[in-house]
Amino acid sequence: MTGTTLRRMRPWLGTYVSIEACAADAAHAALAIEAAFVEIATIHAAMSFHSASSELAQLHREAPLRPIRVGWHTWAVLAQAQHLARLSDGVFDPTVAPQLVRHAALPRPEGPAPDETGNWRDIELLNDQQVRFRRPLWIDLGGIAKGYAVDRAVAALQRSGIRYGSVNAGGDLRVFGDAPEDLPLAVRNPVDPATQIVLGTLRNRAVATSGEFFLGREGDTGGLSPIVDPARGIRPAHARSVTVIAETCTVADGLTKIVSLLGPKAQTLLDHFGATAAIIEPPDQLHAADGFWAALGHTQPPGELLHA
Amino acid sequence: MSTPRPGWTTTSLVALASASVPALFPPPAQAAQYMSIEQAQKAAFPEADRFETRNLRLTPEQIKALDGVASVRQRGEIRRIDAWAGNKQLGTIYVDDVIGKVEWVTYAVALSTDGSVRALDILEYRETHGYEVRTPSWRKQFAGRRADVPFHFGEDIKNISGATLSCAHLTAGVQRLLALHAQLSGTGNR
Repeated sequence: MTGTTLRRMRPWLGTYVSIEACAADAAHAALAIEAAFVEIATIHAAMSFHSASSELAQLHREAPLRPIRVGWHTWAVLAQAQHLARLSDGVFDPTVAPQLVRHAALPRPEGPAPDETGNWRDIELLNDQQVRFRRPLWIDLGGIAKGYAVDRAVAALQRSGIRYGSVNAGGDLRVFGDAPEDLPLAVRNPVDPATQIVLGTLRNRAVATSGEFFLGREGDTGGLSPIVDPARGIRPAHARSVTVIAETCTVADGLTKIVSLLGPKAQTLLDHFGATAAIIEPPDQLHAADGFWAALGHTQPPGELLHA
Repeated sequence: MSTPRPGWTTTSLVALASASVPALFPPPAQAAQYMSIEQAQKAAFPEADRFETRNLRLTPEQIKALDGVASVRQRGEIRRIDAWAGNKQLGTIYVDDVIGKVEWVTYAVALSTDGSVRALDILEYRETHGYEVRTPSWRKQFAGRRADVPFHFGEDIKNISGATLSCAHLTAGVQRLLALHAQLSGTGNR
């Protein structure tokens, strides 16, 4: 079966979002991509930390005072964030924003100053999509909302009858459908950055990576990691990156933060979600969890194993 | 992470590069063309019957004034396309480039006659190597290695994953174009 593949890229979620869709004709693909970008724009508007008119900003201002009803995107992301926080016993915690604000990685929101002893347990998800904070909090959904936006964009493409395609929000990506070719996944060659090393190929999976060097935010964190350890605070960046492969990009995105902080101890959580991960460390080591290479289309780990 | 866990394996990436694996797959694109200018014109103003193109060369004074709006590396040569239906102007498209940390982006912003943004699309996206932007603290991680061997794992990974690349430079470029448009159409004074 032949079709027309269209690719479009627009700036959203603080990064470059590209969408690829194959349909019977270009007009169909263009409409579907438009619908997917509308979904992403809606999610961006609801959960932007930077915008004073986002639902998130309203939560910062008013949720310590009274229950605030949020839209279902924000509700879904908060519910997923709380789920990850509970499962990881607070290793994943969306209330770490005050530390990022202090280091100018995020702008200071309007409203009451946060109680820094607060944590994810102080977010109450009430009935009827209402949210209340037990104490003033600043929450950053950046660790999961981008993956969620990718998943919703994929759903929009599928609803529009797109056979296969992909959505890539600055590296948080998901590929779906019955593409004639699998999507290659690569990292840069550490010895020659102008070249890349293809790790394998992806089909019907989502990937997210947390690197600690390229801060996806504005502001100068002065070599500090954008990943905040809820227990120990912000810390110097490690020269490593974590890649998670999962069924959905929401899960992949959220798990990268947990694997960054726990390393291989996150295995139980990876298993829980049917996900797998790799940690890349200098000078050139790639530590792969069980199933990582299989998820990339290999029957056994390629290349030369340093430790098995 | 020096003690691997059961079920985890460690592979040398460099050795992987020389293994036969990569030859099986085409490498992901580091440059991609998303739309042609003609496609962007049609998508933004489907009702137009005529497009008039001019190249604007900004004077040093203009560039300086725009630097006050937002600072970003632009080439200073901007294509302006006016969309018409008969003798009615529908709006204007600007085609411009911004150069970010590792990315070089050509984009088109379409404005209605009231100056509001009607469409914003990236036409072409390229990556430069970007090792010049590595932070000192990053470089320190590799003390003892050859200084001229830059590292950046996973920072990008196109098709791929990588710590997120900010689109702040593009946002700054758009702000500059909006200011320039206001200046050119005399609607900039409030």
